[in-house]
Amino acid sequence: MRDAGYVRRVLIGAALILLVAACGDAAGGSVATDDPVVEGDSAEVTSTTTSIPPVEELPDLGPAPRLIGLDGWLQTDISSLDDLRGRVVVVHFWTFGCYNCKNTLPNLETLYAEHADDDFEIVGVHSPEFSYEEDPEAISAAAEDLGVTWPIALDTRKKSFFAWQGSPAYWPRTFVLDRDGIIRFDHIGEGAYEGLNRTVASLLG
Amino acid sequence: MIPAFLEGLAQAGLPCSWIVLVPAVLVGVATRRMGPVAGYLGSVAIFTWVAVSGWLSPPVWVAGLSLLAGAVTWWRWGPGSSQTALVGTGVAWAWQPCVGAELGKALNLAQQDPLGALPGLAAFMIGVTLVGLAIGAGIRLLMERRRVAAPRWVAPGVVGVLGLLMVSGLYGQVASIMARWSTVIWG
Repeated sequence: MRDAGYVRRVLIGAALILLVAACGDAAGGSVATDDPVVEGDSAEVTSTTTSIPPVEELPDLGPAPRLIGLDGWLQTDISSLDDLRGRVVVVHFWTFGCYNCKNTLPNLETLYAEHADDDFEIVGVHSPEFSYEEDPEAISAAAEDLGVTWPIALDTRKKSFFAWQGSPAYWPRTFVLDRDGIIRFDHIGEGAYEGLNRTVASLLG
Repeated sequence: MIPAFLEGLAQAGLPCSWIVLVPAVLVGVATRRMGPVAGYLGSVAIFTWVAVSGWLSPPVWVAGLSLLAGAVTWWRWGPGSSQTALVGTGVAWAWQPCVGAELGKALNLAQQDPLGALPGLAAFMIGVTLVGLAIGAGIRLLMERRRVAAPRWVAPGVVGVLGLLMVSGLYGQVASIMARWSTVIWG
């Protein structure tokens, strides 16, 4: 009986915290924005045909840092992001053991196929969370299993992971660079697929 | 709020959440008192928010020191709210999240409006932590029914080992082994 009381008290306490937090949320905690990049976080893979924002409406988040401390590349001949200047580039920080990263891959696959004939590229920066994710052969095998056909930068020591994100840094995180290497989209985690797809479509004109 | 809470419940089983989950289980096993539970839950939620807001995100060895301090005081004086708050603070600083859609909303919002991100982030962390506390309470109930008692040093001992691993730089390797087991077990 005492344990039932304990569980009840924990649940009531958690509910009260949630309630207080919800009040804070309702009092204006959430940010409504017209920013086309932040909006559209549906988990569905969506078409890019709806309401593509003009390029000038996309945020300018500054020049992208270089990819540093890499241990090589897979599935490509390029050796740096400079080789992709003039193209619209999605830079996707991921690791193959990350459940949430895997959930973002179907949209990237669709996007990659959709823009196969455009000046467009995806770079998957593989920044392992755990040591078993560091083996390039394991990464290649996982890429094949997961349908990752785009270039993969091996960021085994996570130098680029932290150089781009600071601390704390997150898996997955997705950036879109315009043709001049300026960051025009930045999203942490799953979701915002519609915003990502619309940003790419806008930058490709 | 509720979606973030539910996502927290769902993500508790992922390797990324183990560092939050394991001490939560230990707290749940060690005590039924609300103070220590609230100390852990509150410190995890608040210091995670402090870290993701960019105000204070120390290196993992500092997180390890916080865990060690929590472990030593827990071993000496039992699982009080200050002790579990120290453990929760270390956990919050060591946590490297894998981010789903709802947590992602909070973290993206934290870049522009840290205060606005607090409800979603707190709801997520409460979800993850409650799973651990519930597992711990279940284990304690079973032990009490079978009249089995773990030595009082076990829970602070495990927390202390986690802290030592972080301070020594070995935490990543151990976490990797745990994650590997997890993928073998759960696929």
